[in-house]
Amino acid sequence: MKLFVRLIFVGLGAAIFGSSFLTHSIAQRTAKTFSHTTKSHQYADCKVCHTLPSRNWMSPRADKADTFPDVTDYPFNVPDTQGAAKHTACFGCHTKDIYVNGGVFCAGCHIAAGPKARPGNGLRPFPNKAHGTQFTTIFPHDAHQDIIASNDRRSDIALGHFVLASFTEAPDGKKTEFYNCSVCHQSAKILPKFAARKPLTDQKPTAAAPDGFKPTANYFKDAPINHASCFNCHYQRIQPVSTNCSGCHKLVDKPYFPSTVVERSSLKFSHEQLGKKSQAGERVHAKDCMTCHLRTAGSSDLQAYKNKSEPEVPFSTCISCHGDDIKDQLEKREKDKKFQCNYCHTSAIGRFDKPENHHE
Amino acid sequence: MRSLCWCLLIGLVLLSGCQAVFAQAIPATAGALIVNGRAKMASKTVILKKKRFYLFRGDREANKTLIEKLKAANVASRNCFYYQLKASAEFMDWLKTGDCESVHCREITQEDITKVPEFRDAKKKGLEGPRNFNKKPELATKWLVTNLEPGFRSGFYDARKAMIEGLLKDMSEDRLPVQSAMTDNGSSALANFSNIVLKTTVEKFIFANLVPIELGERSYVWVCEVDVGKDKKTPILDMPESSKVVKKCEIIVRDLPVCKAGMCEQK
Repeated sequence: MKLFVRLIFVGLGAAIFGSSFLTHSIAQRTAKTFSHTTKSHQYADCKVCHTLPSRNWMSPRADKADTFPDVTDYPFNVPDTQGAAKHTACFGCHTKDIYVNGGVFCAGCHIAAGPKARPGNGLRPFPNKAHGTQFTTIFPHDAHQDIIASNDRRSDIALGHFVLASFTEAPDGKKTEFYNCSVCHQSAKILPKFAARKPLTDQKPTAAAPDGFKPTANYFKDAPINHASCFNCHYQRIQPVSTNCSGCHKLVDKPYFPSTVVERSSLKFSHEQLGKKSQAGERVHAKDCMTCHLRTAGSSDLQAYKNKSEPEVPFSTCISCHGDDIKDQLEKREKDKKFQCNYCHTSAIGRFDKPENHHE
Repeated sequence: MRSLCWCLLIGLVLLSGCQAVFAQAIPATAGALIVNGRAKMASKTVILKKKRFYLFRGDREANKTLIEKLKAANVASRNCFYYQLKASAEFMDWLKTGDCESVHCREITQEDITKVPEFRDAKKKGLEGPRNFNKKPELATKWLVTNLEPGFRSGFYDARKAMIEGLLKDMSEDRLPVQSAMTDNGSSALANFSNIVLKTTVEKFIFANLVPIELGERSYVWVCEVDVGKDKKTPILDMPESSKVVKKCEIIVRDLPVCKAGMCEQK
């Protein structure tokens, strides 16, 4: 037994000694993440490397959406290269790299080398979410509002342009579907991860009172997760077209992982709220989206509003209908500093002092 | 222990620095303005839904150049724009249903493709073109607008955008719009400007719909002067039509050109 233990120790020592002669550590053998920020990777036209659509665009998509022409694979051949010219997107500059360091360069895309490698089968998934995204998306809501806006609608045809999919029927009995915010934003069917959007303040409020509030999925709206709704109009000819990536995507300095948590200041607001009292059963919040989402409607860059201290929906839009209830809450708070506003907010927010924008 | 204290101290300094930066986001003095998009046209009131208004700092005198440019601007009407493109009668009918300004206004159905020649051609192009949808023909219908002729795709919007850019070209930084807002689709059509940064307690602004609004056989541009103040009650404005300057509103009224298929001339 003693001999066996000694042998193990000797073996371990030999392994450690031997490994010190290796020229590369394990870390060095790990493929580097491809970076679009590298200067030599920055071309004026993305199609130098990316082909649209990818060869496999008809294959089932990772996001389970219906297939449509899209970039769904790693760059392979530079467009219009034929026959034996394989991997031209990489090999133009990196031919030598595949023979260095045991071909670790190939592991940027490949899990296993082979001519039949496809995403999920010999290739890493595309896009590789484990690496974070290197781009941000610019979406000008204002321009889209303007282009789908119309002259005053005839009331006998449609209740409204931006009313959420609730239209009256045309005189001939046919339903006229006008484009509106619901082209991209539908009531969520699955409850997203959510959190209270805490105010940017140095206050140290009292602990949040127990709050058993649980929103349901239809409190939230969803948003496009792929190119499908964009390509509806921008696939070709209407700029920015699908090959003009920089028309919508801007390179960021560092890759990041976009948050999947939906943050709300007023978590108790339900987009599908049914009325009580005089409006019993009515979808009381099914108004024109722009009645409340003023800042989105006027924004040419969605990102610019993400980190603002001001809420995207101004307080003034809430008080136009809920003035009495909110006033009641604010008065209670004025009298008793321990009172936590709970009409719109959960206690995570209601415990903070009345913000400047509530004076509007 | 000492290094831990230093770390904590540096962390606290950084944290307070961050808070100071973010705390600046709310302006010290801010105001709000609600424009009530109701125009009194002779005996009836017209609700101006989905119309964009722009807010400019300063009174009418300070924005004189803009107002002069608005008066001189030559803007084609929707009908004229599409007739100049030789739009078919069926296409014009499609636009007029629901008073659409572009093909992006509502869904183009299979029935529309059968009826409207422009849509029919675009679908054909989608199936036959170099970047076609042969592998998935339903996309030729769904993504039809990507195969329309240039002017029909987004030409009307582009023309109006170019007009606004022309109006604001060469304007100094302080004469550019501070905000824009679109009237909503409610019964009173409100355009809501909020968090307007004020340099003084009460400040003069003008708001204007730079793109003329077509109502009947005329087009209208309203340029209204308004006081915005933190402690002032938010003004709700009606927009008069009859005279050129009423209640601090200057109205630029134009007769729309008469357009028929293949022609377009000033009345």
